[in-house]
Amino acid sequence: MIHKFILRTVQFSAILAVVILVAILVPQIFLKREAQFKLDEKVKYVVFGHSHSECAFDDSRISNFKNLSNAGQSYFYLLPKLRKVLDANPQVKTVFIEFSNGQIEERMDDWIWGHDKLHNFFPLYAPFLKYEEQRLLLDHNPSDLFSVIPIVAKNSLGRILAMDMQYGDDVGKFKPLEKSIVDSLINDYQHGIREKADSNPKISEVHLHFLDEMIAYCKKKGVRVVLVRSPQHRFYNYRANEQVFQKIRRERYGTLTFLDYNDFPLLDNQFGDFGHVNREGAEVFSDWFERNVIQDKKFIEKQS
Amino acid sequence: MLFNSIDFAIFLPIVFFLYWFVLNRNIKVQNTLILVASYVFYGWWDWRFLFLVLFSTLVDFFIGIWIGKTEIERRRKLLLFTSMAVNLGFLGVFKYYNFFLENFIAAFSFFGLSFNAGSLSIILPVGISFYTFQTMSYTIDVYQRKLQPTNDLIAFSAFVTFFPQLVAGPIERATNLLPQFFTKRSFHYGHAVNGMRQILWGLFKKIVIADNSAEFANLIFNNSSDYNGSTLLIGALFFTFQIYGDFSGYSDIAIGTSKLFGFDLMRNFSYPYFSRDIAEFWRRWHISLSTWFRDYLYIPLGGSQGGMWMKIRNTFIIFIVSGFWHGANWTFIIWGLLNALYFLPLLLASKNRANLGIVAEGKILPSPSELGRMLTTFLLTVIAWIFFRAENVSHAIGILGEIFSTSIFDIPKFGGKTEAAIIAVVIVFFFAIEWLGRSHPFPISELDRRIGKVPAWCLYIFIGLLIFLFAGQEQEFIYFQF
Repeated sequence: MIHKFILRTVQFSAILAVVILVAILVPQIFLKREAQFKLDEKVKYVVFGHSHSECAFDDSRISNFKNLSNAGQSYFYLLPKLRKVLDANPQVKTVFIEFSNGQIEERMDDWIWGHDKLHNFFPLYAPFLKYEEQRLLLDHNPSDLFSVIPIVAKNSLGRILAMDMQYGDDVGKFKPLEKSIVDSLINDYQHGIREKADSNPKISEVHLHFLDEMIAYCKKKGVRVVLVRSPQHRFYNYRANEQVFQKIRRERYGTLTFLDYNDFPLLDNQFGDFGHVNREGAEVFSDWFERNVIQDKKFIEKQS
Repeated sequence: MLFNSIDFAIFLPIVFFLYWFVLNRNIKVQNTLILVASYVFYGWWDWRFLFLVLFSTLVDFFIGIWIGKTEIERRRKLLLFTSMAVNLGFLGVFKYYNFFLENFIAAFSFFGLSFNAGSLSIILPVGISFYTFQTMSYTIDVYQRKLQPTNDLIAFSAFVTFFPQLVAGPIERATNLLPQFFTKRSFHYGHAVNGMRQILWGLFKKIVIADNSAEFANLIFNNSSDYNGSTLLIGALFFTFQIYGDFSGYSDIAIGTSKLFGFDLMRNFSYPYFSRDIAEFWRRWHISLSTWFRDYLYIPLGGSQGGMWMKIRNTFIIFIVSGFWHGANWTFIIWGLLNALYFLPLLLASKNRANLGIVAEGKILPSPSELGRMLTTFLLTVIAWIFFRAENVSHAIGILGEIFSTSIFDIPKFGGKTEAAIIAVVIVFFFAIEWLGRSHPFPISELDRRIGKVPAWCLYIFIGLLIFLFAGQEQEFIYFQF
């Protein structure tokens, strides 16, 4: 009898495993084919990045422009988004990619396979990641990857059942910071309370590799790439690595246009904190960007 | 080790294989395996507290023998009190010391006196309230001559630490579980298969219902000052489902696991949210604790023998003690007191045993009257659970104040409403299955026989799929803290 019990248990487990596998794979395949990343036909400029550009580019004030940045998103998760957006939107002529001090550092590895980022972004982008990209997560954080797979399956099934194929705002948009804590941060700074920053940090080769991949994909699609650094407060602690940052930019990305707004003239109260502009700062910056970049004939000519 | 962990999924088949295939010839060897497995299971959490379990086991084992050896009543009583003092002493030190200290200090300062003593910075050992009550039941039963003391230390230790129910019950009586360690266990196919069904149902309750309800209960209770009355009521409802799914889910997994090893544990839950009054609710909720207090506290206090006032006094005592058993916080005491108050009208009208059968037995739907009484009882328990979940009494009162204000009519506002709606649909599915299976020990018990093999297997697979889809991070069981 015990052998029959074991046989029945194995049979049940096998059937359940097959059903679970189907529940994981079928929605992924379906979404990979059917997901919609179509932007407005007028959109010719897109910015990809993390919270800095998410807060800085108010796309309602910039012509033919879409902000697809998302706080906490590394180049690893920006890459599949970029691929889908460019595939679905041949009208896009220029891609701006946020490239700022923090993004060269080794801590960005955690933005790829760390628990929080894996749980936040993998469920959304899993269908669009290539095998080798999924393999990277498996190699570095298998336990969190396995624990997030049910969420991937549930979210994908939910999206299909709700017939919601439009990714639109889910993958990024302008999100203004309403408040400013800069005064208290300056107060702390002047009293010597400040986050520790390394002037010669370890570099994340993995993270920069995915920036390379983004640039390569744009080139493959014939889309111009512009690196951009959104405004950062003068006391922003990651400025400490400026020399290393500039060296990498020159040596690795010297052939690309780099729009550097690191010292963009903003008042203290136009920042939300040291790393991000607030709504008022975004208005000032976006209006300036519209006038001096988007409406600049020289800049436009470079597209063609 | 958590039941809902990969560790347990590996541990259980290993123990099962050794138990039935390698060590099945000798009952003593099987008991030894259970003991070792139980120590590994408990030590996985924190091996240092194994010494506490071991000490508690040895004290009750030897006191049991000594009580059995003497006929001198004073000596027997002294031995019984020693066992009680040791077990309750552990509880007092690990669970209640800081609570009493804080309240003493508060009471002294109220009278303008100062009282200084250091609080203890110690972790509460998992399941201490469960195994101490289980060992006490043995000594009391031996003292009351309901049970012969055992001389088999391995069997007794295995009884105290039996891993399926060691950390969160059911709190077994020695008269039920201990004799099973002296009887040869044989593998029974139907029994084991039903055990697997009960494990599946328990995992569904825990992983799908409890853990997903917890997400919203925690969000709303932890930020209660930000929410209106209707949102707080939703938070309280989610906690109501969380605690049921969590605790009864644990009991189902424990009972199911025991069946795989040829053991029968007592039933701990019997569809409590279908109760028609509070008395029925308490016959269906945490049955092993309710009956423990009935047998070892309520009846020794005189039970219902001494007239109405005695009955009321004893009822209040067991509800308050039961509340205090759950934790060293006034919220638990008020939770117990509130349940006693709910119980009082039934007691005064002698209607506390009015609903002993299964609600709407043999019918698909309850009558309007039954439905009304079920909903009323359910809402009363929801209100009581607010005290159980709140951080402190003023937190609970604040939540209740908002619920009983006009903001109860406002539109609920909280993050993740779509996810909450999905969980609500799953909860409806869960209660539908519970309702349809309410005349059985658990709703999918013997389901193949009841509805046919193919539909039953489809349901099992569907439940398994839901467990996978709704699995998040491993969450501890709420009752571990008790």
